[in-house]
Amino acid sequence: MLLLVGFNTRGFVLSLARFDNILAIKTQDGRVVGFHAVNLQVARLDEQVWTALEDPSQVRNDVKAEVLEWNAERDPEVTDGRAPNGIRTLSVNVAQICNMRCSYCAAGGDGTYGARGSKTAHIDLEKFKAQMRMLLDRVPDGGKFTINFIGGEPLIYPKTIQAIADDAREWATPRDLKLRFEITTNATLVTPEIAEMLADLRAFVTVSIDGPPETNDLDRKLASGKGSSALALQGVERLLVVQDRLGALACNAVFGAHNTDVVGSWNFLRQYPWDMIYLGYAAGPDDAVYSPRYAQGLATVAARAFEIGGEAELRRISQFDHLFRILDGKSRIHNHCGAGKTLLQVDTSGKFYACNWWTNVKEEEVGEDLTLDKAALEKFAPSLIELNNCGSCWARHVCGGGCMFVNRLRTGDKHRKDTEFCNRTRHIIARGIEYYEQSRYEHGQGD
Amino acid sequence: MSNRVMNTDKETDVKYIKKVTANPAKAATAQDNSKAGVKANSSADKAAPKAYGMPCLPQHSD
Repeated sequence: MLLLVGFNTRGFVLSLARFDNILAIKTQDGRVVGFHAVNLQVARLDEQVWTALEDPSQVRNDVKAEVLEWNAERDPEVTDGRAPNGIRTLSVNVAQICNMRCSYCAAGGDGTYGARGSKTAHIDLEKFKAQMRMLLDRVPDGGKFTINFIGGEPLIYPKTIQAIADDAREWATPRDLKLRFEITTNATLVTPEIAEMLADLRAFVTVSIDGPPETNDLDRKLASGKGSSALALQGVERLLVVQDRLGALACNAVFGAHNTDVVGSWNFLRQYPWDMIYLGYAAGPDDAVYSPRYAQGLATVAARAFEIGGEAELRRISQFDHLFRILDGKSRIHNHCGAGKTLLQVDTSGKFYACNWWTNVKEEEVGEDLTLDKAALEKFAPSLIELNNCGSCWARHVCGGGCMFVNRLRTGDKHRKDTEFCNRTRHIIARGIEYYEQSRYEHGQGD
Repeated sequence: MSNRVMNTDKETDVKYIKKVTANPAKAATAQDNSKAGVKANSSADKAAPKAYGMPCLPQHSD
């Protein structure tokens, strides 16, 4: 079976050929790289293997035999990265208001998720504490639990974050639970005191910023209408002061119809010593146009990063680090994320959702107060590869079955695949596999 | 390329497929390797096999 995928209308072509479990990628410098979709193995392929996949009659039998042998091979060292049993991450809308008005905001443009004028701008703290304790009680002694603060802008209420963390620590300590605190913030409200608080929590901090001020200020404006860059970068500087006491400091730039200049953003962001740079994509109605542009931009960034600093620089970019980690870890992925399995979202009014982007989506509620809807959650139990019908995709054990939020947004059904998401994701993974092969092969580890 | 066409005997030991060797020592993320990451939150932050794909927020990946 030959499968060619190309973004050639915009000057970029990615050539793939496939036979069952074997994917061949023809790189722009002429190499042929192989990937085994089940074993997660990567290989340098002879040009004749590419020919074998295109037209088997043109190659000798021993080439075909070697392809068949690899296709049938099963590596006993590869394990399955199954999710743990039970909720291990609680994401919380500390606030459902925001001091910014980003043009592409997934939370309704103002952090309210569409519930403007609601009385639930601030979380019901006592109700939330009871919910958090309920979930902490279900974690085995010594187990791990993550609390993820999002908004709106969570740092509108720093005292609430401190109160939640204090309560979680008090509840977790007697049972030796390992707590991890995470926060996604626009950083505009970070004072030295807040930076110190986050350091005390050893928080994993992700700053939402899209790139240089001339880009960032176009779409990430304060509620006043002014650009947010000056305040955000001031906040970043304050976080950098305590960076060695944070769990990690990452940035998250979002691309989409509003901005596809991935290269320009990365050139700016990489000047800061982030532990990780995430260059994400916000799905929208015109993805047929913008998604390939983003994918092409990310490919250009990957090429430049690898040229500048090899694997280390490439792996500062979250998506590529993630891929390398999966391939080196030899662990097959079965779920894109833990939504509904290990991850729950709770909004300011105490309603539970499987996904943090479904706040205020009535039909996606999976509980409220101290009640979880077992029947609703049971529907999330199968792997996303199964639920989203991804069993024949070569990238399934790296992608994990795709994003239910994007599917719902783009196709109206959270389990119906979005073609643009799939193309974008396969493109990023294929590019990453090229660099993985180059990194491991050129360091003398070729078999 | 069909299975029927591919189904043939191997004739030589010539290698057309050179598998690269995974490096488990590098199966950690930059976050794990940051100075803070190693000491932060004790064992909660040690490198562990990935359970998830490439989700919407970087920190949702474990």
